[in-house]
Amino acid sequence: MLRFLWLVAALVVAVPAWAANVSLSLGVSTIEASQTTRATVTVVGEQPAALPSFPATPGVRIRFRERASEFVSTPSTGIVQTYRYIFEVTPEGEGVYPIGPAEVGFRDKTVKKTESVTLTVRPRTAMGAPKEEIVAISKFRRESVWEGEIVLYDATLTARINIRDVQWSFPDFEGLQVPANVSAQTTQTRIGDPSGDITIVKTVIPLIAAGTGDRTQPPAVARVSELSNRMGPFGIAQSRQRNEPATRSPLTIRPLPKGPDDFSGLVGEFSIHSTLEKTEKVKVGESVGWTVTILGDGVVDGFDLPELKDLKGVRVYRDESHTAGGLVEGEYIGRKTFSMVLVPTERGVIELPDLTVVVFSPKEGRYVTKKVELGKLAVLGSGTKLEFEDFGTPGEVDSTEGAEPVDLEEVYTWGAATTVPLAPVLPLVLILVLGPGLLVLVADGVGGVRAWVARRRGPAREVRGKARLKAPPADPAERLAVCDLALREALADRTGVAVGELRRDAAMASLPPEVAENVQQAFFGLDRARFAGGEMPEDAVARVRIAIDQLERAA
Amino acid sequence: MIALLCTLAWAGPVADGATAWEAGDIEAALEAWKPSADGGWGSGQVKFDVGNAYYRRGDLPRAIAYWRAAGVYRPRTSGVSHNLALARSELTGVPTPVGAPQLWMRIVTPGELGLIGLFVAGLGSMALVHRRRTREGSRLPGIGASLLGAVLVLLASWGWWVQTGMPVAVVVDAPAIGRVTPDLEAEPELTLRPGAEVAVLREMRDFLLVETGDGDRGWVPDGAVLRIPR
Repeated sequence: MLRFLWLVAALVVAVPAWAANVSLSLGVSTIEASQTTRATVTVVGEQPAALPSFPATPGVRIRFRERASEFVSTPSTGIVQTYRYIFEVTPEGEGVYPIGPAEVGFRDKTVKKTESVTLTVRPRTAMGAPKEEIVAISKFRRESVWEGEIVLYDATLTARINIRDVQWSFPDFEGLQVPANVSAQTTQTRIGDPSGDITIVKTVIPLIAAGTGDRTQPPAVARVSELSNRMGPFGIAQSRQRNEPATRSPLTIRPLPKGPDDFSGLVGEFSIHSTLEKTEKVKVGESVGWTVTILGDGVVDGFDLPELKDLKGVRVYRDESHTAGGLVEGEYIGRKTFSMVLVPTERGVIELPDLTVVVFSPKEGRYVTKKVELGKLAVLGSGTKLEFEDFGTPGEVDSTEGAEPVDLEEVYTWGAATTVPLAPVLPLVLILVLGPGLLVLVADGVGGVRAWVARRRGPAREVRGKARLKAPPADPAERLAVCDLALREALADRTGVAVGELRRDAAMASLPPEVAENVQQAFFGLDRARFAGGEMPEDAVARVRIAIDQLERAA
Repeated sequence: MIALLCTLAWAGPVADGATAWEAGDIEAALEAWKPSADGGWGSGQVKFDVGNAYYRRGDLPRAIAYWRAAGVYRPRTSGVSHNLALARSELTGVPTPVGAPQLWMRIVTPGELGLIGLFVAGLGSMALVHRRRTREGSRLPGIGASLLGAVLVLLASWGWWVQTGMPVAVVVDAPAIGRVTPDLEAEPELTLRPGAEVAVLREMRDFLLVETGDGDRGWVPDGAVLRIPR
């Protein structure tokens, strides 16, 4: 158990964001013949290059089903991405089958292996045979516990029909307390079965055994949303509510036997781990970080380390402590970490005394003393003792007999006394700094939009020839000029020269006679209006149009 | 400019106070440092020195307050954590000290993070201008650096805002009674001994809603605590 706890804690604490960790788990570890379960390969921190692979296990078929990824954030690791690869595991018959280890390959050609797990396949009996559609069971994992111990309450719903969700109404848990900042854990598993898939929804609640005596709890009730085959409006499957009561949950809480004076108050299976930042070449007066972690399946919230006595040649300064507790893989884990600083005050090899904590072990039913060896500190230094000044220490002072106090870090003897706070003006400076780049982007964007609009519109069509006469100007002089230009453009186009290079006589000579006559008459009407001072004939525009039409047809 | 800064650094209040300190005159040193430390724009050095002076005077809560203030400006300075650990080890019955509002503030100040962000954003902006002139290469590096810089600057601004909005206070002089409501007649909820480092969550009339590092809350009179001088 403790090995498992340490493994989980080490995984949670030590996984840096860049390191990939792989693990393998089964949906359920025991199924019945002809049933199917799922195996999940979880990869934390790095995306695998390919699907995880399993070694061939005789009598078991493993098929890839689906994959998913999510971001997980923990205080110790920050945000890490987790990839889950789900496989369907179908054993051919009864027996015990090792599954895995799965191999996961990464892009840098490294391959990591998970641990292997065991799948037990029992003969087909009650669970496999068709029975009730829904079965609700709630019970304490152990029916007899000690006062102060963590007891896990399992509420399990097994359904052979399609369900949407399950909501439990739990009893008041009289005589039990929910640990601070801990919430229940719910998992859902699906087992493939020839007589219909089985859905198992399991909720685990950790509780502290507070009262003593018979603490049997009334039954919990599961409120199940059962999906029907009928479709409702908008194609949504209809559901109906069902209440499924479980049975009473027996529990007896035994009072703790009279304990020793130095009992720490911890009830559970615990282990203590100590880490010294440095053990060799430590200087007198140097601060050496010291971390003590206590980990186990009990509540550690109110626990404090015992006072360290007989520490000759070293002083201990307490810093921060961090408490964590919660469910991991269905088991409760409590962990408290104490950060301290050791400051040697003498040179030489200092033997640090063992740290002992008295806990009550429910497994053994007695008080046990957990001990951790702190080891030795090899201290160097120019003097044999740290020199210090006597200074006032008001209030309640933790004076350690025989130990030398550590002095302050010295004051700054030079430096600026004032500093300009930069943070309030950061957004303004950011705008100034980003300004040139933003202007460039905006200018490029505007240019791009213009080019796009121009491309969408296509090349501009020149208005010339007959098109000029679509809406002739009202002003007679302008109309005359437009008609003359349109006719000359048409003639120039017919002749194949530019308007400025047009020689009217030569162009007219090249026209068929009937076209030339019409064009000549049109020019005549315009020339008369222009040069003879007469008004433009009313039919001049029509004549010019006809002439242009003929010119275009002749062309 | 450099000469002026050096002159100010060597001959300013920090140096004046240090001279008195080395002569053993703690009161004179405090007199030299304190106006700058409390003036609003006090540097990390001067706040640290004031903390030392209070410690020598035996006023551990005020020493802690000024060292916490110094830690805001100089989070990576080992002297701050050393002295804080020293003072905390001499206090008993105080709750767990509240930490920095954000984890990253233990490593870098919002101002420093903002400068890094401005530098990165400036590089990105320059890259965009350069690309516009030469018409070579992609805009993506410039846009990416600009965005990264902007994100860092915004994070720094937000961090500064959080730091200012939720200051740390230290109980000084006498135990402070935390009450359920901001009223002297209200039911007491917790007692904070001098030296308790708490986060100020809200302010109402002459009361502050404070929270300890253990998550306990209560309204305490404003005068019972010293908000870390910023």
